[in-house]
Amino acid sequence: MSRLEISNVTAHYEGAAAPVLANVSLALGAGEFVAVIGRSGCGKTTLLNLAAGFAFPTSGRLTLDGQPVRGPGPERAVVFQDDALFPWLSAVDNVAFGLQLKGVPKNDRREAARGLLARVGLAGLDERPIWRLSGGQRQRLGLARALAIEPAFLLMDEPLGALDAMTREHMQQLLLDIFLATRAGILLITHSIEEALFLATRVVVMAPNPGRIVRTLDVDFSRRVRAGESARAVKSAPDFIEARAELLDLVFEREAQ
Amino acid sequence: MTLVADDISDRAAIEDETTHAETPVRAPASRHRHRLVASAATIIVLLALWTAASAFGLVSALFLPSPIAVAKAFWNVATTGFVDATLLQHLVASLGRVFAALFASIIVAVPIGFAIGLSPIGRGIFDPIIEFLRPLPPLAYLPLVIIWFGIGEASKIIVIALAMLAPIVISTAAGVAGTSRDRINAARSLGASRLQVLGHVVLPSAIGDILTGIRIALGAGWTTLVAAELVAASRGVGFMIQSAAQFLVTDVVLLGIVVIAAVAFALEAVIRILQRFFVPWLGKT
Ligand SMILES: Nc1ncnc2c1ncn2[C@@H]1O[C@H](COP(=O)(O)OP(=O)(O)O)[C@@H](O)[C@H]1O
Ligand SMILES: [Mg+2]
Repeated sequence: MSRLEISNVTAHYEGAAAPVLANVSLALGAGEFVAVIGRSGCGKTTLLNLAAGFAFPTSGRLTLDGQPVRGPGPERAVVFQDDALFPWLSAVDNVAFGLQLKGVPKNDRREAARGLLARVGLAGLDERPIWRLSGGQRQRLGLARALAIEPAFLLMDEPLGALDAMTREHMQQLLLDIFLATRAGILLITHSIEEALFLATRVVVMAPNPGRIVRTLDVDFSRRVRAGESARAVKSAPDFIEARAELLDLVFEREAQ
Repeated sequence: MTLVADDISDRAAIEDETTHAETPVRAPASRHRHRLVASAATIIVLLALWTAASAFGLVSALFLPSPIAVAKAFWNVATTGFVDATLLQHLVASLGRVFAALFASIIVAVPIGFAIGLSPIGRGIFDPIIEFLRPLPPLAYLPLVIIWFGIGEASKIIVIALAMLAPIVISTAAGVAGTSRDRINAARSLGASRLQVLGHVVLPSAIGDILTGIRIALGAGWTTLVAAELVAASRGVGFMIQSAAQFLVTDVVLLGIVVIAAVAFALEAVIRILQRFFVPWLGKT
């Protein structure tokens, strides 16, 4: 059982007097799906960078199974806001990259990668150079690349941001399937409140200046989908709409000030 | 609270992914064609002026042989040769020196560029050397190199290699330092070691800039070469020009100049093609 713990973390960007994050605490365990929402610039990406080990806090602690986080590692795969794919590799080799690093033979890793490409709806685009993919296709490729190494945690920065509505719903279902199949701990940054409520087991609302957590809400709408209710029915249930209204109020009230 | 969209990002427009994927976008071809036509016209006018100047005896053939005479010189030098070597042999001698120097320069400059691009200490060590070398005209240190290494091939190759060093180092360093943070982090979070990050991310990211450095270096090397051959050589295009000038064989002098320009142009074109082959994503991501 892996557990990623962020305790009372404050962080500054170099040269800035004001902290970008102040006293943020957040825990992510296996089988948990935490969605982070908050307006642009409130420090969501910074929080993810800390969790991934790309950046370090000025104070507070980050631990992975009780051990201090000293940097990135393959148990915490990241899906980037700006895809961060490797343009010198074809689509399938981008997905196979993590396995290549581990020394998995070429045919084996490509076979695994092809399976994942099909899973994210990119079957048949194996040899396509990535600069000939659309923004949405690239984001799905980034997800497949992260899944390929079977991480204990999946840290995602607005991975569905560039998708059209239809593909987006499809991908939300895929994220749920992945979550259920792998029981990976998922940290999802999203700008859609509905998406956060629909997918997560916990929704965290952040506010800016300094970046902080203003509300944590445990939800179980995804469990109801699993129990057989349709996605549409869940999204129009009274308690879903009520939760959505509360979060909207929170975010926009903060934005108005 | 009124009915507001569920979208709290400032990125309002959500791209429709299907429309962008397959639409081929081409730059208007006519602009390119206009440019080519204008360039061709310039060349034709210059050739016509040149022909007229020599045909009407405005300039003595000793100073300005006609284009026909230069074409004949080309044929003669190509088939029977000039000062003991055919044009091809002169060219091979010159190109051999340039590519030997390029090879040596790449082996030294690329690692130095990595050191500068990767670490402040590396930058601290190598920056003064490169900044000293960069503005020096190669002919200024040619005499010193000859004192140290004699007047043989080695000196010429060393001088050319030195002239090529700075452009490759500077471009490589820029490419290395410019590697996308996100891509490096992506590789690290997929389990890459430092060495793997270097080989799998930094090197491929920098290839385009390294090739740009090589293109600039080849230009610098080629101009240096011709000058170096003026000083001490028994073969080479620069040497051919120098010998022809001594005997006032002006048509061969002109021929040499045209050949040097043509080779420089061809080298440039070849690197650009290589760049398109090795870095096809440039400007597309
Ligand atoms: N590299 C950086 N240097 C300095 N300030 C930064 C840097 N990156 C982000 N910031 C600032 O930190 C704040 C939080 O940024 P970010 O974590 O990207 O927010 P979000 O992902 O929620 O939009 C913003 O005000 C942003 O301007
Ligand atoms: Mg962000």
